[in-house]
Order: sequence, then C-alpha cells, then structure tokens
Amino acid sequence: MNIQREDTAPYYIPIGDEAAVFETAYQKKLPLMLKGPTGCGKTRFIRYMAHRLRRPVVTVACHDDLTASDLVGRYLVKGGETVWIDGPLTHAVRIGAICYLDEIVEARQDTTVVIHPLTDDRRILPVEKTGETLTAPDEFMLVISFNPGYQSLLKDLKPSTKQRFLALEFDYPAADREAEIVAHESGVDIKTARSLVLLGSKIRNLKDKGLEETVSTRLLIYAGQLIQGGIREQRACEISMLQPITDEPDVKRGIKELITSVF
Amino acid sequence: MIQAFIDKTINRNTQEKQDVSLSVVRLQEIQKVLDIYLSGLMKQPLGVRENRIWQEGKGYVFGLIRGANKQVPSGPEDSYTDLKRIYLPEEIGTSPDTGGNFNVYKAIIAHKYGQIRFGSLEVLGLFEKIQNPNLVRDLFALIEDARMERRLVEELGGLKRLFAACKKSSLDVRNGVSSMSPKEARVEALVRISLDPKNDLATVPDEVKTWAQPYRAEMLHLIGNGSTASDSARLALRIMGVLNRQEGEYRGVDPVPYRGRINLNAVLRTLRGAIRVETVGRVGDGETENAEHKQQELTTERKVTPESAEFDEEEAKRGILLNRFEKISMIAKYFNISRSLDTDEDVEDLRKSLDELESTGMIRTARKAGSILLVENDFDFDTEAADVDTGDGPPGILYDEWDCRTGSFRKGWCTLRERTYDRLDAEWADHLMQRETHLFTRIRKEFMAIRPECQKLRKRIDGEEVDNDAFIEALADIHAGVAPSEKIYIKRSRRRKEIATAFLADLSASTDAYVKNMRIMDQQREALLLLGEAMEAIRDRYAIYGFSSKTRKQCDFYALKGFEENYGPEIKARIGGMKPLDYTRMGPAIRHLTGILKNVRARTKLMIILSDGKPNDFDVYEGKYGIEDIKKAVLEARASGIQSYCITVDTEAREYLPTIFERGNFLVLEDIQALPQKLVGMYRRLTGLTGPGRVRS
Repeated sequence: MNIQREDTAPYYIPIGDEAAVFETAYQKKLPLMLKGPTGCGKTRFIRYMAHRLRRPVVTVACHDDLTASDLVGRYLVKGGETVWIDGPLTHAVRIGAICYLDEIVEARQDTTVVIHPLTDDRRILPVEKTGETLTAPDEFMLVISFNPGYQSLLKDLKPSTKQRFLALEFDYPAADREAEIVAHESGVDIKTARSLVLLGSKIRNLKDKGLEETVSTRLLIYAGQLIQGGIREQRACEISMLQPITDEPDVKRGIKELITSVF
Repeated sequence: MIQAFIDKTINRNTQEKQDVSLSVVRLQEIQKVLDIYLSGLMKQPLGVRENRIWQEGKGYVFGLIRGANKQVPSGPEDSYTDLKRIYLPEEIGTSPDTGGNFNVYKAIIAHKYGQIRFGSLEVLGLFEKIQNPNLVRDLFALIEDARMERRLVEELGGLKRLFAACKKSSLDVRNGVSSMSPKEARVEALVRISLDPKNDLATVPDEVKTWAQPYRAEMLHLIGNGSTASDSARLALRIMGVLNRQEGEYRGVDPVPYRGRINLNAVLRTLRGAIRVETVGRVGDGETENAEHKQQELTTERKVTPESAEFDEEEAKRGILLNRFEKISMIAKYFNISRSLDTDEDVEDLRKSLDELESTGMIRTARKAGSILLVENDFDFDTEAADVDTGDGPPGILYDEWDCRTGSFRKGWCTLRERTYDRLDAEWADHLMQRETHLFTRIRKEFMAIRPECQKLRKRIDGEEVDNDAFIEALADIHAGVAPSEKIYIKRSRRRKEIATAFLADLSASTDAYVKNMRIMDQQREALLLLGEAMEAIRDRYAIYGFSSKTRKQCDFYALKGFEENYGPEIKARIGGMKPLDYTRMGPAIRHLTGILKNVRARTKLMIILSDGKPNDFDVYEGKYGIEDIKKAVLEARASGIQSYCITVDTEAREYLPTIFERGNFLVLEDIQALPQKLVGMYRRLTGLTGPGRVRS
C-alpha cells in the first residue's frame, strides 16, 4: 500500500485557482476528479495539497486486473488463522487520508462501483466480508484522475461514476511557468529550460497530426535531467522527447529536425 | 546574372556528376518529413485549407509544400512563399551529399517560417507603387533576411549552425563583380555583408567597399536592436534612393539559394485579400502578441496602399471571387481572428460548391449558398425539384432529421433504403492483394499474433482452469466463515464476443477526388480490405456498410458485409466494386446503423465512420445544419450504448469534427497513404488489443 506523508512541501506552482478549489472541496467533503493529459502535474498537485492540508495520501495506481477486493480488502490465511487485511481504500477511510485513485478508467468497471457510496453525502464504505460499514471521517477525501481522450473507447468512465465528482481540468502550464518548473525540477539553467519548453510546444503542435500523444511536462523535465547529467542536448531530447512518443519514421525525422532547430 | 549562377551550378554538377546523381534529394521522398517539420514550427500550419490545388485530370493535390502545377521552382534559389504555401523545387542536388541537400530544403522551410513569423513579407505593400521594384526588393531582402534570421536563431538556436553552413556555401559560389554595373556591384557588396557582417569584400573594388562601409554599420545596428520589417523596408528604400543616382542598369545579382526569392506579386495578392478581412474580434490564444502585431501591420498597410481596395473591387467584378475568399478565410484563420459564423459558412459553402463542381465534373444545380455562382454561371436554382422522391427499389424507412435552426426534429424527413450492393469487382481485391502481398501478410501475421486465443477471463463462474488467486481468496473466506465467491475459474475465450464493430464508409462523389495523387475511394477500398483481413485474423465481429444520398428522399444504405456474413470472395468483390456515388447525408445513415447495432448482442458496440469531408447534399445539408444533425445522430447512438469514431482525410475536419465527436474520438489523416494502416491501427487501439498474448480480465 502506498501511503505518503508530505513532511516538506512538494514543489508545485499553482496555475489558477486549483488549490482553492481543492481546499473548498475538502472542507465541504466533496469528491474530486482531476482531468488532464499524462505528466502535466496531477499527482504532484495531490501531494502538494496533501501537505497543505496535512493529510496523508493513499495512492492506488489502477490497472485492469484491479478488483473490488484489491481496493476494499480480503482475508488472508496466516498460520491457520485468518486475518482481515484492509485494502487501500478501506485503510484511507479508517485513517482519514486523501485516497487518490490514479487513472481510474484503467480499472474494471465493476470495481469502480465500490467507490460510489463514498462519493455521495452518506460517505460510507460497506465492507461486505467483515459485515462492517465504515463511515468516512471528515478528513477523508476521494480524488480520482482521468485522462480523457487517449484511452480506448472501451475504457471510458461510466457517466454514473463521472457524475459523482467535481472535475478540475489540468493542462500543460504556460511557457514561462513550464520553463520555471523544468528548470527547478531538472536543475538546468533557465535558458536551457526555455529551449526545452519551446521545443515541447513545437512538438505539441503536431498533436493530431502524426502524433496521438505529445510531450508532457514530465518528459521535458526528464530531458532537462539528462542534460544536467551531462548528456548532449540533442541526444537528451531525442531520448526523452522523440523516442517515447512515436515510431513512425517520417514523424521521427520531422521531430529530429525540430530538435536540431532548437538546439 | 542568374544565368551565370545557374551555369556555375551546372558546371559544378557536371564535375561531380557521379556523386550528385546519388546525392540528389527529391521533394517527393521527404515531403512528409518537411510537412511534419513545418507543422511543428507553426502553430497554425501554412495553408492546410488553402492549398487545395486543382489539377486537370488528377483531382485535388494537397500541395502543402510542393509548388502548384503552374510554378514549380526550378531550384532552391527560386523557392518562395505567398503566405499560403511554400513553393519548393522538385529536387535539390547542389550539395555533394544527401544530408547537405536535405539541409537546403530544411533551411528554406525555416527561412520561410521566419519570414512569416517575423512579419517580413507583410510590409511589401510599401513597394507596390514603385515602378521597377526589383532593386528595392533585392535590397529589402538582403537587409530583412539578415534581421529576420537573427531573430529566428535567437529563438531557435539550432538553426544557427544550419544557416551558417548555408551562408558559407552561398558565399563560396558567388560570382566576381568584374562584369557588374556599379549598381549591381554595390548590391553585391551588401549581399555579402548580409551573409557575413564581417565579410572583407575581398574581390570588390575599393570605391564600392568604401561606399558600403556606412551601410554595413547601419545594417549591423538594425539587426542588433530589435527593429521590425518596416525598418528594413525603410533602409532599403533609402539605399535605393542613393543607388538610383548611380550610373548603369540593375539586372539583379546572384541569388542566395536557401533564401529563395521574394515573389512580390504573389505576396501582395495574398495581402490584398487579407486587408479586406474585418480585423475586429478576439485574438485567440497562443501567439497573441504576434497576431496583434500582425494585425497592426496590416492596418498600417491598408493606409499605405489605399488603392488596393479599389483593385479588389475590380478583381471582384472580373469574378475571381473564390480566390479572394480563400485568402480571407486563410488569413483570418492564420491571425486567429474570429469571424461571424455566417460569413464563414457562406465562404465555405461557396468554396464547397466550386470544389465539388470541379471534383466530379458533373453539373449540378446550385444550392442556396451557391447564389453567388448563380449570377455568374446562370445555374438553375431549384430545390423543389430536389424534393421529388426519386427513390426506387425497396420501401424506404423514414428517419427524423434534426433542424438546429428551429431546435426540433423534422419528423420522417429522410427516406432511407437499404440496398444490396450489386456493383461487384472481383478482380480488384486479388490484384491489390497480389501487389501488396507484403503489407497484407504483415497485417495478417500481426493480428494473428494478438488474436486473443490465450485470452483469460478471470473470476468466472465456470471455465477450463482454476483461478488460483480467486480460489485462495475463497479458501480464506471459508476459513473466516464468510460466504466465498463462486467465481473461481478462468475461462479461455477465443472470440471477444463482447465487441461488435460496424464500419460506415462514405460513398459520396467527393471520394472520387485525388489527394496526393491517390484517389480517396481507392484508399478507402484498400483500407476496408486490409481491415477485413485483420478482422478475420483476429475473429472479431464486424460489419461494413456504405452510404450515399441524393436529397433527403433518397438516402441509400448499402450492406457490404453484414454481421452474420462470412468474409470471402463475395465480400471482397463488393469492396472492390465500391464506387463514388452521390452526396454525404450522414445523419440517416448513422441513425439506421444505430438501429442495426441495437439488435446486435455485444457488450461494446463501435461505429467507425470513414469520411472524406463535410456533410452535404443536393438539398440543404451543409454547414451548421448538417453538422448539428450528425452530432445529434451520434448522441442518439451514444445513448443506445454505441461509441462512434470518425476517421477522415479532410484536413479541414479539425474545425468541425470536435463539435461532433469527443476529443480523441476522431482522427484526421494528413496522409491518405496511411489510411489503411491507420484504420487497422486505430481499431487495435480502440478495442484495447495491445500486444501478443495479453491476459485480460
């Protein structure tokens, strides 16, 4: 189980009113959905908010084998005895943590149903096997992330699930902000960071034009880290911003030319 | 002078003939790469919608970069942009190695991008009144290019190397000044300074050197201090004034290959069109400052050339309407100016009407929006006739149509007939599969590999083997005194019964058009055939339908392959026999297919629409009306649990598809050649087939 306590404030630059919205949702005990492309800072935002609110975060990376008992808990046999082991969701409810279900669409649809009673005003979690019904403390908050658009059609979130959440939309930050973030996170100088962001924006121009997914802020930071570690700029960009996103020869070559135009 | 340059180049070419023939880079080979490169550089790609060039007998050519048929530049020095397209030579072979020749292409693209990015060409109106503009044009080019390139490399540092190499090789091939007139010698000196500010002007006479010295300083100053294109133009005009007092004529100097030339007339034509755009309105996101700057420049220019508006009136009288509309919509789009929707649509409609007339060579009655054409071409305008039920064959099914103007359905508005497709072509498929054996084999293998034979469905109530995880969990439950789950088996499934996919192909006349020398319909046929093979390999359930319409009374729906039909020679012959028919009234087809899918037992139902363009029909189905109807039909399908997806080769689709399909639920193909593989790839992605032997729960 992934429980994190943020003792020092994680680096995060608010872009809009997202922190205020999060805080209000927390106070009003409303569940929240973070929408946005991969690597734009959703997870970092959660950690940042967890620190601000002084709550631990229980993160569950959802995958397509994730079952309800993976979330809620199960009995295990230990030396002839059976022991009930809380799943991450149950645990988060018990300790009043922020429970973060990352990439919720990846989970089986019947799994997502178990979170429903936690999302309305009852805020309860029935644990069928133990016969318990847990009521979430005020400090508990449910947050899910969702990346619309890129997954397969089979994996759209059920409207009945979607409608239970407030939704905050995330996108890649504006150029100046993004450069600041890249510089801070990777340790490259601001000039290099700006060039990385410029290159990023050029590659993002290719979205829907040969590219299905483009470069995230995270990839820009990776590039910066490679450069900081002594890898040549062009090579670093190739490794972090070209190879991960496409296999098509022409698109690759085109992006390569963009890289050599910027660096 | 240009001749001398060409001679010299040819001489070089003959000397290195052996190498050169191997190192020549042809545009055709690298067009896609340049395309990607330019699209990356520019947020708003140059002329995606503007460069539909009509070619006799060939249909449309999306000449994003390639020159129009009339003016294919002969070499790099002849390349230019008219702000809508970049015109490139068919091949470049000036460098002894392929990399060098490719780099010339790249440098041209970067240079043209710079000209557009930094507003180089928008001040050319200043030279419009000048009698013989060649001198001032060349002066402006050499000053402005130096300024613009400086700005460009400040932004894109990597271009510094590229330009440096290009500048060096450009300097190397320049002719001496011995045969030049005093005017030409002076311009030549300035060109060398432009290419290399520290150039020692070695072969230039002393008097010219002395003359050029102050201008060197001025140029350096101008380049370094953040001046604008207008400053370059002013300096050019001033130097022209000075040079005009010199003896001798001006026949031009050697061109700088990678910088190409400034095509004054072509740019002015584009700008004239743009001036007429109402520049009011919101400036979109992104390069706001830049756009504002450009608007300003345009406004300035309007003042500079007041007669340009009159000229346009004349042009309009002569009936070159299409041309201007194109420019308006292009420039407006490029500058992110929002226009009123109506105007936009009118322009679109007009264009569309013209486009279609050309694309099929058929004569059709003009529609409402074609009223401008009406004046000119004296078409009959008669939608009443269109209302006559011309349908024959089986009795029709009536479908409602959404009317966005009244916000209500028109009850039973469209008559749809399901027809058997009887145009067969048995040979085509065999032919293609023989020709593309490799591709077909590969796709088949690829899909065989991911055939979900080993697909394991976990936690089932019955199955061939025990699901250990589930079993242990059940044991623990029993131990704890809790009722265990009975779902402790793994079931192997050969066929993913839960998925049923219907493909809906556009059979409208516009699929007869050519894109990059390929007929849309041929690509569609190939795509469907390839898909058939893939689906057979993977054994998913699918059906293929086609649609076409001729007014609301005659919407035809063809079953090319029903869900229950087996793929075989018959189906292949139907796909082979697919022909462009009439119009694109998509709403009824989607509604009908929704009905079919509703009766198919499957957990996930997909509808994948292959389209080549906007909706239209003989009677009104254009623009917002058609789009809103389709949107409604897609929503209805969704409400019935059917997911819709669209794949199109219409590059304009990016403007209207997002309003119909959710983000990620459509794909706009730039390269029609990629259609077959993209379609297959898309199916894989949509249905979550990601790799061989994947265990799915």
